[in-house]
Amino acid sequence: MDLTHATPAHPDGTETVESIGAQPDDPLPDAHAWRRQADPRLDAGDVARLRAAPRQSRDHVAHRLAAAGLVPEPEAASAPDLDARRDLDAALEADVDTLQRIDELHARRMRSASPRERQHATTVLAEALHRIVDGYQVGDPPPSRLVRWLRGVDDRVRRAYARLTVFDDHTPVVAWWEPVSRWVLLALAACAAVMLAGGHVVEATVVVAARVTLAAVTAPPAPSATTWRRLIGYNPDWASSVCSHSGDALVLAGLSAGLHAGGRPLWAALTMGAALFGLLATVSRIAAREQGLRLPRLWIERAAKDLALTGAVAAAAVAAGHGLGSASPFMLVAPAVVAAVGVAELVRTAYYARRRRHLLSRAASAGGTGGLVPNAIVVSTGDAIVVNLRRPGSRAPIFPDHREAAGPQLRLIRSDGSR
Amino acid sequence: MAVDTPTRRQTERVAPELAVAKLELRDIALLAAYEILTEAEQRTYRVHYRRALAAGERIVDEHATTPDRPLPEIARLFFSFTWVFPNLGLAGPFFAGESGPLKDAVLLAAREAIVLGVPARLDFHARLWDHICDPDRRAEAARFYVRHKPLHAFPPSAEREAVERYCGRIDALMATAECVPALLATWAIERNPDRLRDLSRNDVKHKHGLFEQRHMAPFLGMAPNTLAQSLKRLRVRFGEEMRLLWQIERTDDYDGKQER
Repeated sequence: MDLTHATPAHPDGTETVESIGAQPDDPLPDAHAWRRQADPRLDAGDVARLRAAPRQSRDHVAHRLAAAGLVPEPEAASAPDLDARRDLDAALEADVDTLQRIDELHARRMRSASPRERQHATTVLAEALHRIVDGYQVGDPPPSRLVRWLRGVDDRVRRAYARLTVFDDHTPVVAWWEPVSRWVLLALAACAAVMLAGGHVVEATVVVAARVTLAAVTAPPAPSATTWRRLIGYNPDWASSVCSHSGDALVLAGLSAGLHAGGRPLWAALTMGAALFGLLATVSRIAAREQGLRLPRLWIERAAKDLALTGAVAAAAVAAGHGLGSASPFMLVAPAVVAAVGVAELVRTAYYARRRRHLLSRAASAGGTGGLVPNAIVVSTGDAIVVNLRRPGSRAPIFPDHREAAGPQLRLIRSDGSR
Repeated sequence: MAVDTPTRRQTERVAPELAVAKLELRDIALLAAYEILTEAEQRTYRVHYRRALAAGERIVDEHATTPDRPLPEIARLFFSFTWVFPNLGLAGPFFAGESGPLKDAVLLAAREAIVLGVPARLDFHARLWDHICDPDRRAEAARFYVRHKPLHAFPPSAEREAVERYCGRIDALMATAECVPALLATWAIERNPDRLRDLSRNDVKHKHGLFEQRHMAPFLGMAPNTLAQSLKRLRVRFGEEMRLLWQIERTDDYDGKQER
């Protein structure tokens, strides 16, 4: 709490011990006050007052003890069904605005070009999550060193891609290009696949390189969720993901067809298998969002796929010229990379699913002992995996809920006593 | 001047209010609170009271120096030393430093322990928590704690207006933050470490009434470790917000100078 290079609040040194709130360890001010406070005698007035007091305070104290779970709850003092009030699922569904703000914060945290804005968005997001989830689960172990290192590498790759793009703002051109771009890139991938299947390897290399370059240079900012998109349930991120990953799979499928036509059935089968496996792994990651795991695409994965696909097709063009029958084994790097990325996707999804399951089981076991279970667990604001828990029973409020008048209101005061 | 040289026997003896700690807590409660029972209740518990009185006298005879007051007052003094005053650092600011409400709370808790069988310490802590949650008392305490020295430290280059804004912000934070009163209470306990040491002696170790953090946790609806971590986080958040505030002040100053 101490600030660096701090000085006293009163530079002239006029503050007293009391004015700065410093208390000595022994709180006895003087002998007279001590004698008065320590006097154990009771006069008739004290006895009468103390005999009357229990009647006034008994119910109150019994309620406090029952709410704290220290004594069995009396019949009259039934606690309100707090979880009915704190049904986070319903609350979040009702508060669409909050959800959109959180998504926007996530987007800014992940995609903003300004480091200051990224940092600020992270802070605000953590605060927002803290406010939403009443029982903030603290003390969760941080991710391993390897995971943190991979995140750092991924962030550096993301910044490198961000430097390549020419669109960094929402202009009319970007608004037009954003929905068009994904279909153009998919069409280019389909063209490249057809060319590879037909044995036009050089032309296919040009198209694949153009697709990768176009995707990097004209990458639009994150598409906004407009009203009609929300109404029809259209998720532009999902559409972009499908087009992008389908395009990669199409290129590999074209490569496979070319290899088959060139008399390499084994290589063709391996390449086709890698394409299907990569697509399946990606779809499993995207589908995990429905289970509450927010796992964005890794930029390392995108870079690896771009380099591998372009490099493999270019190598085939250099070695084979026309037809893929005489292509070098170097071409198999592309399906190998796609398969490795698919394995990484599955491992990543399984890792976070397992971590969430661990937290859920820990919360469930805590619920069996004392019912002290938070309403929700934030696994990590970095991963933004939010797990909502609904408990059947009631539990005491962590802090007084002002809206329901369940606790005393706090008042704004100043140090001079004015309110 | 004559100097008393204590014999070996005398040095083993302690003050009567410390010696009664060897009694059962229920017996101490009976001795302290018997006077405030109604007449009917006194008739009901007279046998128990006499038994506690006899046990107390025996303990005082064996272990204490010569008592200068009757046993019920000694029992109340015991509660003052181990239940009331250790909590003054905690709850003192909530009562403007007066120990009267705490002494009342102790005696009422002792009475309820006799009549209803509720553990005296639990009842006392519930009463203490009830007082602490009272908005008027809380405002009183917040007014005290906002003068806490480290909170009102600031960089040497700060201007007067910035300092005033800063102090006002702290006041508002302290008074409206959700961590009140747990944060304030924990601060108070930590600022009186000697009390904890005094109460860790064998005789009173399990009989003192200091409202420690682990006792506060159930009233906040938390596990003790969760409360400790939450308080740590809240303090860090306080610190971060203060630092952020200074950054904003500095940036405002810098921007203003640039514009000029």
